[in-house]
Amino acid sequence: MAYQFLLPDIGEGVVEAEILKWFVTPGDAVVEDQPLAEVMTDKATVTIPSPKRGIVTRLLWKEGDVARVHQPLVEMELEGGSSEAGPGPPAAPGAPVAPGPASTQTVRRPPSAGSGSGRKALAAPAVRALARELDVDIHAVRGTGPGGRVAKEDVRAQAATDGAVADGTLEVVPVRGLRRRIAEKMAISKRTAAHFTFVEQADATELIAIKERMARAAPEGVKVTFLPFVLKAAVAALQKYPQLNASFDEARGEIHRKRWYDLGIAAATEQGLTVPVVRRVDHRSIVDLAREIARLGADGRAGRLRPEDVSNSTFTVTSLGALGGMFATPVINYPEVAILGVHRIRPTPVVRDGRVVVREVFYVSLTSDHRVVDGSEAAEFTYEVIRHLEDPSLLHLEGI
Amino acid sequence: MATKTFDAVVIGAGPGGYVAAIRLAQLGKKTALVDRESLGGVCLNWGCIPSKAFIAAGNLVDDIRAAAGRGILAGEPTVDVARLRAFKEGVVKKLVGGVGQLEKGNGVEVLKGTAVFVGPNAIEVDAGGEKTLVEAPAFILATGARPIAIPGFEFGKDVWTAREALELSEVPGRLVVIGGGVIGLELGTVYAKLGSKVTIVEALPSLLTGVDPEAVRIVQKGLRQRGVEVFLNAKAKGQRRGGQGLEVTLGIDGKEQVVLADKILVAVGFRPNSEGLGLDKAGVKLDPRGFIQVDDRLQTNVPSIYAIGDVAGAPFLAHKASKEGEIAAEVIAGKKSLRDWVAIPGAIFTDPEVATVGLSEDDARKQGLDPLVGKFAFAALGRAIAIDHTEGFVKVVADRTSKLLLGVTIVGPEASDLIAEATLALEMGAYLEDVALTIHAHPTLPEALMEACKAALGEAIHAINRPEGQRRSRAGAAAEG
Repeated sequence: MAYQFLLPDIGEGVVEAEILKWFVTPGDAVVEDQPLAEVMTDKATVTIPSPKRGIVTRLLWKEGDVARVHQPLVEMELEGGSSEAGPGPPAAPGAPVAPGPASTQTVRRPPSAGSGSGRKALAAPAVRALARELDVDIHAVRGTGPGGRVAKEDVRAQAATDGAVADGTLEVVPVRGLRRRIAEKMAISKRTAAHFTFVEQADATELIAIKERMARAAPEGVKVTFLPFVLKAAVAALQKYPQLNASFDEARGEIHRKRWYDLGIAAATEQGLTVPVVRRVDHRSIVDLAREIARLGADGRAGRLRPEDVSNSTFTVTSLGALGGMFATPVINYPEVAILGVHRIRPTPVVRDGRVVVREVFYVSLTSDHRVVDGSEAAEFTYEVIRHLEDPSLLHLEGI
Repeated sequence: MATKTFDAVVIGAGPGGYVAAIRLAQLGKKTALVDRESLGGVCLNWGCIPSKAFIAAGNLVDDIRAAAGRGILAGEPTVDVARLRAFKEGVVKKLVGGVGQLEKGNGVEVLKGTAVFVGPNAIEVDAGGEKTLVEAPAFILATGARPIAIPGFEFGKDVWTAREALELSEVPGRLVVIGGGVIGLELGTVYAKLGSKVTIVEALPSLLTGVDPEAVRIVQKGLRQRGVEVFLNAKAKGQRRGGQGLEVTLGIDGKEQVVLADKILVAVGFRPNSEGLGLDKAGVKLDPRGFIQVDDRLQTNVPSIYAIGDVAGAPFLAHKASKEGEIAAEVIAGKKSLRDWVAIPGAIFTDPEVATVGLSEDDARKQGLDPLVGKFAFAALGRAIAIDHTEGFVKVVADRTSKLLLGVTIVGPEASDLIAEATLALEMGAYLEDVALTIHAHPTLPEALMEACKAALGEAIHAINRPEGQRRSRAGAAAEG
């Protein structure tokens, strides 16, 4: 019996998912819970298991396509009777469908929105001839004419691209998965928020000493880095300047100030930038934070992050560690209103009491959304962060 | 045995082969064109062209008869069959001569004789016992197809194929046409106009199977008006000469019925001319019905051998063969040509004419589409009324969402000419709006296509735009009738 498996609900509020990778091809026999595909939502990467045992007959999307939740994902031929054996898993709504008639006509079907698979190009005979002459697959050309109609210029542009790929001067990397999410989010952030960056220098001498002492005292297996201190200092400043622990709802004309402190930490993974979230930073000890940061890092590198690990931060910290540079102009993790960058600590000549001395110095960069955060507030916030990093004992004093 | 060597050899000089040879020569290939008979093949000599010469003459007879309605009193026309035949022969001679000049002018060497493959790169051409070995790295098979015979109706003096019918040796008093397809109806119509009492026998439930039933209904009405009798679901079981002429026995609903005839025309389909060519020696693969299997570059399983036109399978249309001839020639010359057309038009020279391109309404539904359909009747078109040919309509089929044109069926005056615009529209990927927004000269017949597209969009000017439900139920009712 023919069976159509719909893309199940993947997580709260998730309406669509990008097909990253198929684990099956038509003709494959699959058993229940066998992975069918890996999909990526705006929250995380999820593996979709087969709800039933059967033979995969058709994959309805290509890798890189974006499918909406409850749209058909694959067609399967179920083994006799098994479909009646019991209800499928709740996350896998499916509907039996009748096989459609095979099409034998040469007439081209109109391009259907959403599905890019098997689409026939809308192009005049002269354009199709040019494509053949230039060895361009016309069905893969993105037409710039009305309704996606392919023009000669589109074919020539594709031929130029194909040629550069062929002679090795151009590498074409499909923007898929995480890279696509990053591209979309960064573009929204830059398009929407009024970015401005404030930079100041900080002295790390005291911070280094405390960090070293804590690292020595920490339990076996816990690696204490500077990052827990940065998170704590950020929370100290956010408590004083709540306008920065907020999101901006432009449509409703509202600023949502959060009285909780879930801080995103921008981290590099093999696939690209992810922002795992450390929850309730104000309630955790330095050691606890170190442990959680280590777990998120390991899960991120292993591609194991769950949707709840990467969503709903209130403020974000970015740090490139040894690659931290002098300073940067970080891009806000939209719809938050500010992001704190901490940079590389290095011995630097500074003036203390009228004399040039060498101190361990680093810079912090704060990018804020100027629609929400005024310049003076950003500066005061930054100095508050620096005050707590230059004298970490304040964290104890204030019980943060 | 003499040996000749070419860059390419085309076997069969019909509308596929002669075009392929010209194209090959244009592209710098030293080309030979082999045929056992006349240049131009069936199309020029015994098919499309002579039949159109007769059909035009038949229409003229019809028009003269109808002219009284417009005050022209020419009396009952009589047909001098010998002069009409001479006219037809003049037409054929002129065109065949033209093909000969084109081949010569392009440097194609024409070899008369029968070709047999002796290997994948060589044929033997037998011209009345004089044999020549012809070698080439590439061959195009364009040998066409021939009429299928049915048991009990061996072709001969009394049982014609289209070829004999087009010799116009006489106008038989009673003509029974077996086969209600394109050729049967075209020739049945013309003989009816020239004075024969025509009976059409079709084994299937409908004439012109595959054509929009609404259009078929109008053709059938035209036949009825000309006194043509039509038997559907009728099997031709046998014939014998009796006292009153040929007695043709039909099986209809399990009962037998006898129809009298002076001549019988059998037009029930084609079989490919793929035997006797030594294709087994060359290793060319055929399908179970004997058609040569080719890919979209017209290449057979043997890399040096290509096949085009009827011998490579349906549709059996001259223009399909010509197009394939051009493609095969270009592929042989190293060009990246491909069978990638969107649609092939078909023209049926009945009265009124029928022409189709792309999907019919039924095709679209069978493909699971919910097509948007627009129809415009010639009865509402100024030019059609002025020339007194108001029968028929234009029907357009489009994708409901995108409005992309998917197909057009025309039945009515000059339908065979009108289909050209629809074909261009399909090939260009036109939307209904593209045709609807294009200014059409007034008063002309092509305005009907524009109006049909507008009707599909609910914007026809010269028809009342009914809600779609009503339009569709009307179409459905007609389909049942």
